[in-house]
Amino acid sequence: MPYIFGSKGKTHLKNSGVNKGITRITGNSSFIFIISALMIVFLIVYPSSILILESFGISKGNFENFGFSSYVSIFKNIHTFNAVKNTLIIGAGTTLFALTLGVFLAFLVCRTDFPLKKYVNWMVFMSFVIPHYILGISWIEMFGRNGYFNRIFVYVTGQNTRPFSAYSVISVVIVLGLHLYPIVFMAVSNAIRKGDHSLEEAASISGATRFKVFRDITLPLIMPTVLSIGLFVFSRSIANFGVSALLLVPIYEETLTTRVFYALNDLDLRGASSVSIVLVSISGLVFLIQYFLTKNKNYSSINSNEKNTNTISLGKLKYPLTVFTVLFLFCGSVLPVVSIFASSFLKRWGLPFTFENLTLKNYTDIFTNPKTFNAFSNSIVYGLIASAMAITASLMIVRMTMRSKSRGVKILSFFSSMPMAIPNTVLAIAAILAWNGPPFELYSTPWILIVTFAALFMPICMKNIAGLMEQIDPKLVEAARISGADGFGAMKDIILPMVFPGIKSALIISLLISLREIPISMMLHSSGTETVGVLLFDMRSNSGSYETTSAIAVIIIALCFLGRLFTEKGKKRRKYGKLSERNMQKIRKHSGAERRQFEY
Amino acid sequence: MNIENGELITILGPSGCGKSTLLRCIAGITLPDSGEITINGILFSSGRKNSFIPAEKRNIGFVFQNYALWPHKNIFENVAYPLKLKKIKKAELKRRVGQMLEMVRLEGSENKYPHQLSGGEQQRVAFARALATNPQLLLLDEPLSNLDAKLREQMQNEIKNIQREFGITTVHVTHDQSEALSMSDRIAIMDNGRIMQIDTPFKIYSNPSNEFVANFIGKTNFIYSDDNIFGSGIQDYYAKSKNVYFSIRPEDLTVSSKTGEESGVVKSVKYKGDSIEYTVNINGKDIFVKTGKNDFFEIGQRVFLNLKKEALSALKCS
Repeated sequence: MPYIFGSKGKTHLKNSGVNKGITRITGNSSFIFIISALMIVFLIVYPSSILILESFGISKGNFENFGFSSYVSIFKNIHTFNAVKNTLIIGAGTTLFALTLGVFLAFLVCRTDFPLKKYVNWMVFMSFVIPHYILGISWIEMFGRNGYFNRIFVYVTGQNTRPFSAYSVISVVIVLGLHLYPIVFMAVSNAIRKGDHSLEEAASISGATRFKVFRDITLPLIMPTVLSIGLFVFSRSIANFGVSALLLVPIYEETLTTRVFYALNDLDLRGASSVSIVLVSISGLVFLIQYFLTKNKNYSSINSNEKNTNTISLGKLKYPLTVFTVLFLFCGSVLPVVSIFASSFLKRWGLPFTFENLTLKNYTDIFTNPKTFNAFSNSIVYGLIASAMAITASLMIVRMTMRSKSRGVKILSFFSSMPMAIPNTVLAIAAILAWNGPPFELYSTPWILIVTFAALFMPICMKNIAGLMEQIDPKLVEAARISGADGFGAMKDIILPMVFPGIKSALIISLLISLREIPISMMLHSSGTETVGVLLFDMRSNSGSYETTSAIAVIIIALCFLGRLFTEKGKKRRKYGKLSERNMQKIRKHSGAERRQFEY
Repeated sequence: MNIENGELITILGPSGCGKSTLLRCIAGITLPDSGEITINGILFSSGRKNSFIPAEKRNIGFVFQNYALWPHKNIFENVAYPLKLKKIKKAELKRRVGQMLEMVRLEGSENKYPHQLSGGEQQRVAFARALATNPQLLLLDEPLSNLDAKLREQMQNEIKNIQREFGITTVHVTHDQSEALSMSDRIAIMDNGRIMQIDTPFKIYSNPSNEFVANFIGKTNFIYSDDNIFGSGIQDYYAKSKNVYFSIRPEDLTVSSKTGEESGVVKSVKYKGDSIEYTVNINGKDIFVKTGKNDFFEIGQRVFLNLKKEALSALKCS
């Protein structure tokens, strides 16, 4: 009898409460445990350990160079110091920008009589879908020396000066902020909508004016959400590579991620790994703070089915605010797409928009040029294999965490969500160190990309699957067992169909990432294994051909849009009938996890 | 609808009939479409004059169904918040909160947070908060519906005691009829946004003004003139007016196995512990009867029913 997820193991797991530890899990469950543990060690634990060892000068069991010299040199190096400074400025600036914009819009849409709520939702969705690297390219197309705004300025004023410049730390902050504010918006509007309105009503009955209700009740209640999403935005923005490479490197400024990348280009592996450790320490710290924040403060309420009657009238501010918001969102999310779209039809970047300068050749080239075609198929194939690996491992681990609280399983699920705190550049460095020599020589094969992608996808798959798996009432499985299904049958007939939407959205999100991911692709590809990310990055930096880059970007935007619509649709169908109050609470607990799908 | 000073009036009705909306209009959370609300001679809201005093200026106490205790404030801060907004001095505020918590027997819990309290305790905090500022009116929105049966009964007594002690005018909304009957000075029965009857609990039960009220409160039998039963008992009424029908409560009928006005066959039996409920079929009409706990009859047995005439209530045909 194939008791793959069978009850034999379950009884053991229950007994293991007495003697905690990995060794106690015996029977068939231990088989699952060993397989998933091997996968996690191979994908995540081994590369990160090698990275840490390397930064201390230990490579391949060779202790001769052991020491802190690489760390010491980091702090002596003025470039690295500058990179740390830029990284922190970008992190803080982006967080401030995204929080201000996101919270403001969330209140406008959820709490006031702002007239164009639906359109705001659409525009926010749009900026959310555009990859940040592509947003960066459109930024250059608009504000670069030869960009649209400078050309308009010259055309209008007749002067031959070009006032706008695309390259600066502020530009990075704006581009990243525009890319990340939708996450803030979604999380905060969720918190506002799910908040218990009677709490605010109770305050105004107690005699609080509208301002005091906001200050004393509403704001403190959404504060945990705002803080934790702010930390999330911070860690995302310091982990970014693409935008910094686009908008800072040309003016000889650096961030930690670009520093890692160019250290690798100079073949300074040890330097790259020690800068990586600094980067990971910062983002690890942020994730730790976030973990403790969300753990202690959760004000989600149970009774919130009442309709929100607390709509605040904007009064005289209504029209100025509407005009301002619409203009701002238009510039932030519509203009970039328009600029990319327009540029993709130009024969050559920089030509004026006249009929004879327009062409479809950029698009036909993508499909006829074997190089681009190859890049797209590589991205898709690697993404598929990697997400299959990550989904399989996640299914096993999530199922184990549900049935057992043993320490081994906890450690496993901790390590599987660890890549969330690791910037992609660092993942790539770890992969190079781990896979460029015996015992595993994956370098210069597609497998190094696939394995690293799989590690990158692990947390995303875990969250998507765990969110749904935890909604499943254990009684449903018990009912199947009582009806005569064995452990495997219950898994196949009850659990898999119920978590299928999660698997599907994990797959789509992973594929979208593999289509637009840049640092891992750039650092790990070899000839023949180029992905779309490599294509995007190289094409722009080598030939500056914005017209072809734009055409590829249009296709990626379209794919991202389709994929997103698909996962949004899937989300709505996830609800299976009436759920018990206990499960509803679980879902609320995890609704915060929604935003974690917005990885990368 | 008029509410007297110092009384506890219960608004009772099926869910969705508008009783909570009425309460929210009185509190000033919901803007009424039309009509006027006046408290102590002051116009609080008027559709016609387009005037509306917002909730924060009304000085009203409100206990929510889910208590609405602020989760980020501890018990002391929850009760103190309305006082703080009134700019009451610190020493006085402290004394007042202590007094309130003592009243609801929660002294010593000042530093706890709402989630550390049980449902009953949370509810008592909600009461303390609602009464802290000595409001002119106390509104209760189904405050007992989240409690289990035993605790609910205990809280009913407590609410009644607190209300009497303070002499505070109270409007209580519920859909639980036994709660309404046992707590209220008067009851207003509401259906579909309209008030069907306002009366003392006794009058509501014994003398319902229409079929909806009779049916909504307790169980009853409707007897029409063409049913042709209990003819002798209700003859007097028909003499006065043909245009009436009757409501007879099950406990106002007595059953005997020997003699009676009407005879019928026992159709079903429900044993309730303190009483027994029978369905007796008389000439094809089912009549509900409630008897003492020792009156046993069997299904299919022929029994005789007698009517306590003073318990009859006549309803006008519409």
